[in-house]
Amino acid sequence: MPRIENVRVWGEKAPRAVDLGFGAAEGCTDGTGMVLVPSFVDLGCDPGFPGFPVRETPTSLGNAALAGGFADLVTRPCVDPVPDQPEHLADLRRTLPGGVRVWPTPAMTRGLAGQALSELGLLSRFSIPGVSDGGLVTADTVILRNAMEYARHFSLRLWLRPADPMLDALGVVHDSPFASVLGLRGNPVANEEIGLARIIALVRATGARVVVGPISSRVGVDMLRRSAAEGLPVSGYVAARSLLLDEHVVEGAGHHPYDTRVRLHPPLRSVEDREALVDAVRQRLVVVSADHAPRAPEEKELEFERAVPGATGLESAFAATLTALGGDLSATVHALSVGPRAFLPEPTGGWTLVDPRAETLVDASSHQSLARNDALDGKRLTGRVVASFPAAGGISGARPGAGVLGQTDE
Amino acid sequence: MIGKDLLQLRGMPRETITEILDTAEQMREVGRRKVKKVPPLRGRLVVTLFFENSTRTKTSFELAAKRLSADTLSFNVNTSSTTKGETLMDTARTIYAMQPDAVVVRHACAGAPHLLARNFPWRVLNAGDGIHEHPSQGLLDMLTIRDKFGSLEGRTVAIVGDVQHSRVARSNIWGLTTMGARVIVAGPGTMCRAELSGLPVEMRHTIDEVVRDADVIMLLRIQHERLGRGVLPSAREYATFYGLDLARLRMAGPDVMVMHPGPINRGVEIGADVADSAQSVILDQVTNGIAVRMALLYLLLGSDSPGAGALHAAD
Repeated sequence: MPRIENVRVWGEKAPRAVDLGFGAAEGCTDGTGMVLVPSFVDLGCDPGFPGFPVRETPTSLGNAALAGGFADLVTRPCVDPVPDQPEHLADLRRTLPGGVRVWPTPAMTRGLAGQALSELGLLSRFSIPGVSDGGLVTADTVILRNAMEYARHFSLRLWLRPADPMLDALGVVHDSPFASVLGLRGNPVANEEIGLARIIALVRATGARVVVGPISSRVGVDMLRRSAAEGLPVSGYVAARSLLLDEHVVEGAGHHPYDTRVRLHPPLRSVEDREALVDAVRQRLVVVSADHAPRAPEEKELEFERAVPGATGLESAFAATLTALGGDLSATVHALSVGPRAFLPEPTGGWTLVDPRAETLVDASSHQSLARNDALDGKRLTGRVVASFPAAGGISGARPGAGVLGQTDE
Repeated sequence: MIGKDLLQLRGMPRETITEILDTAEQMREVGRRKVKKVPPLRGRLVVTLFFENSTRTKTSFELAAKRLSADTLSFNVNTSSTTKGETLMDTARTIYAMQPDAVVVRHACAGAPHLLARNFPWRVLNAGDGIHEHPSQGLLDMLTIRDKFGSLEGRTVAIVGDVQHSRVARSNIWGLTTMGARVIVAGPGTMCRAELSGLPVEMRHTIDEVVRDADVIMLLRIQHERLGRGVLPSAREYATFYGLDLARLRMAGPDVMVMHPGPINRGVEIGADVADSAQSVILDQVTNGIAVRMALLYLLLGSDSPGAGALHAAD
């Protein structure tokens, strides 16, 4: 029975031998310097299926998650068909090859159109983290308020992207003097500020529980800080890449000019914003998401303004977060694992073996994801995921047959 | 040395700009001859690839190529954002298969020429990308200013109008300041936003403030699609506060130079009498445009052509 010798288990002091019960670590028998941490949870994942086979398949997503140390993925409803009925959930709630579990957030409004509520009560009978309109912003504030009032009775969380419905469509990079230089239209911080203000005001009025993200600005985290101080049930997450990158990567710093890999929405913002996001993670005010958004080459090999926003993140999120937090493994595990686990409807018990001192060179061409659009491609980061044990449960006597790295088939 | 492509004036060294302007002066000489054609680019293919309507820039580039004896091929791709045609890269692959040496591209999106330059070995000349840059226009404006003042160093150029959405303004701002000129801008708040602070300009609120200080007044075309969409209430409102009429022109010195990239809106950004005044150099700009584009094609393509250097030998 394979064992890893001399590995530190999260929450324990001294390294010891760990019996994982199956041949997962693939040749890794010496865990010196490594730490077995609670597996990660992504709170903002575009699964790509059903409907977008050029972006991701269940197998590729599962392998990408395993490679990044993620055992659980909260997925957005931006798939085809849009999951807005209970009947759709049977197909979405699944365990991917390798044991990674998908937790879909079905559509909050029918067809993601923002005009009529989905059957939130019927949906709530399933074990789901909540409902969401994904990246879309509900233009009608009355519908948003109704969703909150209605969802509260079913203890459903709403997952919302904070933005103003009109300002949101404006611009493709952070609105700043730098955008002016590039000749790209800017998306202002006010977009996020107004979006958050609207959500917070409605939460205050209705008592609904919401998760907002990805937060991109200093103003955004300041508002979350105040709403937390007020005791409002508003939780937030930031994208791992936004802890390392700022608006200037649209030119230079390893990226070529108008590099569509950093065409993101919300956009990467200023250095000051980035620093505020890192502080907010350190203070455990927000958690971190891989914000995994796979895009096909034909969706990215375009003019900057016309490229589909989004970047993959599962396979670089751990190293990105650890690097941004200056090697603070405790804060990183809270941000990617302990914190996000609270948003899952059921307990999860996977483990991830990491080497916090090893270097990772992000190489999207070798990623398990079908997509190659990691915004951190080419970056040298600190920390490496060695292996994932999504369904290991307790460390001793773990169930056999759980996932390993490198699965190739469903 | 000019490099592989002409994408933007931001970052272009002073020596390169001087080299281009000096070469353009030689090229202008060709245009004054009876036989306006020289052989250096014989056998080379220059493609104009325009995704936006343009008459003067395209004509100017084509004429420049022809005067250097290059073959030209013109592609007009009508792409409104709603049309779902082939992608820019697929269009480019098709054209690349025709083996052009250079492609002159105009596109509604900033960075589109950069995409073509990065992915193909051909020479790319940016003929305007979104609101980013229009480098050949900037260069021809600089040549026109240099003609009159001898040097750009220490001159004050006022740019009036929709600087925010102007690729002409951006190229001029970078080129002029690299050459030691000072650029001041004025326009409505929606057209001269605070974010322009990323550019090396001084911002003023009124046209009167810039006119008084300027050696050169560069007026930008008011795009009709901006009217009534919340950017600008009306043309007459603009004319009242930012139009250059004779009264305002008199506030400037007698030697002031009035420029406009064209096409002009008489009575909006420029008074009809101002457009036709002695201070206006609008038509000189057109002539210089051909010379500058000849210089660019020559510098980008000519050095490795069989006929390189043969500027004097008429075909």
